[in-house]
Amino acid sequence: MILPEAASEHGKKIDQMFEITLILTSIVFIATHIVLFIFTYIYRYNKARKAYYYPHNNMIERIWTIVPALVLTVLVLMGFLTWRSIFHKVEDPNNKPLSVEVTSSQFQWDIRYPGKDGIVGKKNYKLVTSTNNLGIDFSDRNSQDDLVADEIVLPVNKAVRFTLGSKDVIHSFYMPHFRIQLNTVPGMPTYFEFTPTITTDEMKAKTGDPNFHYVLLCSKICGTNHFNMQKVVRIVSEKEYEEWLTNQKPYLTDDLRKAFNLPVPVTEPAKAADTTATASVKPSIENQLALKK
Amino acid sequence: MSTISTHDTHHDDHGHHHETFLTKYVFSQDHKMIAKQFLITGIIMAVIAMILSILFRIQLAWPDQNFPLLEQLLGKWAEGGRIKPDFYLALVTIHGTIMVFFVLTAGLSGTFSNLLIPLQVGARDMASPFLNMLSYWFFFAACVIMMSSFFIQTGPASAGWTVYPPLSAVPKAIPGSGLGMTLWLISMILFVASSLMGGINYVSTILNMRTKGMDFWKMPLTIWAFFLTAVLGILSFPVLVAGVVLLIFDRSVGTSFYLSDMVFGTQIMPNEGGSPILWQHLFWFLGHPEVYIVIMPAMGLSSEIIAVNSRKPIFGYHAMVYSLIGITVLSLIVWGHHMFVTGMNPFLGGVFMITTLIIAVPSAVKTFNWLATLWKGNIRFTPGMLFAIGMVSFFISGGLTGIWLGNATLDINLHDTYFVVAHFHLVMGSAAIFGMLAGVYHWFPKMFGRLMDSKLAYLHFWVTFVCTYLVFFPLHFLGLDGVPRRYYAFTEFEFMHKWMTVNKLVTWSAIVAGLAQVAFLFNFFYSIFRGKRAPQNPWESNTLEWTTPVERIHGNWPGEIPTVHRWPYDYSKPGAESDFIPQTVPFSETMSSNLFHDFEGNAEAEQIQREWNAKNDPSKNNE
Ligand code: HEM
Ligand SMILES: [Cu+2]
Ligand SMILES: [Cu+2]
Repeated sequence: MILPEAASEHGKKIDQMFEITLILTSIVFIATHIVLFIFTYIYRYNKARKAYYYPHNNMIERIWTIVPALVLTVLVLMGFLTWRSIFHKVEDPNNKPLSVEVTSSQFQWDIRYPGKDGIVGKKNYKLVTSTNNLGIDFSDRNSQDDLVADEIVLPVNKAVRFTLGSKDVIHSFYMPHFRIQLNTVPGMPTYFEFTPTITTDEMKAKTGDPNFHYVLLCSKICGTNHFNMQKVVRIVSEKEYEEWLTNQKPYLTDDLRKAFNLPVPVTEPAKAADTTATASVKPSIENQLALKK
Repeated sequence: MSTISTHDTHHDDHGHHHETFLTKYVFSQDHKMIAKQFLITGIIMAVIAMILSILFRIQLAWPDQNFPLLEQLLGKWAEGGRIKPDFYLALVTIHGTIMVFFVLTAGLSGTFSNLLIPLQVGARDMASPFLNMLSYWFFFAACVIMMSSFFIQTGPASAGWTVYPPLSAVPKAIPGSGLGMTLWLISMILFVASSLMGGINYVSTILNMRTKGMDFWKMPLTIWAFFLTAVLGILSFPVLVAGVVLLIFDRSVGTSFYLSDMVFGTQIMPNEGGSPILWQHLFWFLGHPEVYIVIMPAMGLSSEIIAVNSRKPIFGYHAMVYSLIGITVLSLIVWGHHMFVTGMNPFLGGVFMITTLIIAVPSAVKTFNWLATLWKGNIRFTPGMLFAIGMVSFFISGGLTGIWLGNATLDINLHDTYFVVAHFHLVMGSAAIFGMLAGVYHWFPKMFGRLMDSKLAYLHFWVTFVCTYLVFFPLHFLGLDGVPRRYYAFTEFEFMHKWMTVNKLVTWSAIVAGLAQVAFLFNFFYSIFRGKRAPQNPWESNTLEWTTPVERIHGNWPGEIPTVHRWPYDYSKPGAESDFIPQTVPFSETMSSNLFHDFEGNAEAEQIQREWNAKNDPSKNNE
């Protein structure tokens, strides 16, 4: 169809409604235009004829008030219910969605995955420094194991809840294939939960395009490079996801540990500081794998 | 009232007014002259905004090509012959601002409310001619200030015509948010002041200065439309001023109404506690009514023109009025549909979806009534009529996609994409522009006493109509594919490359559409001086303005203001000799065509008619 295939659960519902709306409005569009052009043609000026004095017909007018009203009521009801089902998710304590935080700034997306605790820790814009780009508050234990990611990778068929925020101006988190769009607003976190249903590889096969990849774009005017504010999104199997996750580095570096008065792990003398940082967190990631449900 | 009564007593010695060039053409207080000032300024602004759009369309179609001409024209904004991203955004922003506010609000309401309200309700001038003059000059100042931002170092405002903070509030965020934005805000305040002075005048003139017999239900639909538009403007424009003033405070005084939690690079901004969403609520509280402020006058003009040229009463006059009232009221409570995906409470989204889809009902009624007016008409394809029919077509095409966007769920995927650009250009841009052009062709004789050339007008219509669809219809598909709006180039995303050919088609169509406007401009200015002299009532129309002399005198009618006896839509009435009966013709002169319905329950008149019928045409007494 004219929309790219929906790759999320709620996206399929949206598309259903989209199709109903498309069909209804197309019928009206075509019918009214046929009427418009036929009337203008048939009733074009003719000296011999006189127009028909026909000021009103309450019956007809009532019909064409009530019928659109009914059709629109149906559309509103469908829209309202679907809208609720998208934005009012009931939390199931046994099957918590994966949490991912995305922070926008001119003109980039910063992604933060929770560490083994599954919780993305606190942050505060006042803590932003050149080393702590997001202003993560590492005195919050939940922050200490949070991971940097340079792309969004998600396991297929698992619910994920995005926490969105912005550092400077308003941007908008837009992933057309998943039928997701939500503004990122400085000072006000926003949330979007959804379940991707088609992996990138499956989509490559479906579209017949070996270069296909999902994209995250910015859809709210945000400045000079608004047109080029992107992130690749990959939907993968659960297994690939776990593998990928083990390779992600934590936000908390030794420098930041010092800045937050956290104990710096003892370094093996032979190695450089930054590699140490990675090595020291390795175990925690393995723990997280064990914890994954 | 004093001005009016002076006119009343002085009307016979008009020739002896000592008018200087300055009082006649510049600081005129005559509503007809002010209307022309609004129209010509509006046309100039429209041409500027159109040229801006062609500039950025060139960038979209040929993002990797250099046009040395552009550098000569734009200097540092197009270094190396390529428009810069910041300047692209400035172009889009100023294009939108000019089109919406200066062309389709001031240019449209300013022209036709000023021209037609006194003429169609039967008044010598506006309630306050002086305020009316000020209204124009505030508008003019607003235009000059807005345009002046092209000549400053940091360039014009570039945060989009909706100027959302923080982007519009922090000069660091984009160069256009420096002085350019300040000028934008000042220009807007002047503009709102102008609109309010105009609006108050329109409302008081319509309420207080109708001629004898002109009760509300005898007013042409144009007057109803101007009246409700003015009411809507008076209710919503002040809210924009409030919003603008707070934004000025945030920008210049360091307050935090809209700002909080911001870091630019590593610089932590001191603002705390504000909300960018607040601006959006205030802006759209005007912004949505604004689109109806734009379209309702176009609806009124088209209704009138369609009835006149179909030689038929407008179908469902009462329904047309009630639907306008419905739109006016509802348009004040739907603004949230612009904010479905801002992160606003989802419950609110649900509420705004309901109100939004309700407003589609009166809009549908209007459309069906226009179609029914054409049915069994005897349609004269005057240029005005063609544009009015075009207006109906665009209103349908653009209105229907409103049903998609008004549905919060579908809007998730469509918001801020080219789908929206397609939608509002059809329903608000094209429909309103066509309504306005219809009005210009139709009332040109009333403004200038001459006729425009119809061959050039037909050329203008067909090229513009076809090209407008070619420009805006394809944009729907870009939006459905997920292409966001306000993108400087489609080069950075692979999935957008496939739209490059479409972009070229759109740009070429826009260029051709632009050239077609030359036909209009030539026709317009040439006909002012050299057009064929117009007869007094060239379209054989019923409304009062055509009872004034072609010479367009100060005070409008040489003698007494005529009395109104009937509604404005007695076209092709059975039994009447001619196919139109002006509002000034009393029923006593049209015994053969009167209907009992016409007397609105006046028993005496019905009795006289019954006796006449018994003598001349007994069958008519049976109805
Ligand atoms: C010559 C005919 C026109 C062309 C070719 C044209 C083209 C465009 C395009 C392509 C955009 C979107 C650019 C982008 O998002 O990057 C745009 C924006 C806009 N146009 Fe037009 N347009 C035309 C006439 C009009 C008219 C008659 C109106 C009156 C309502 C109008 C109002 C707007 C508005 C409000 C925007 C949004 C500005 C913004 O995003 O801040 N345009 N125009
Ligand atoms: Cu952006
Ligand atoms: Cu709206």
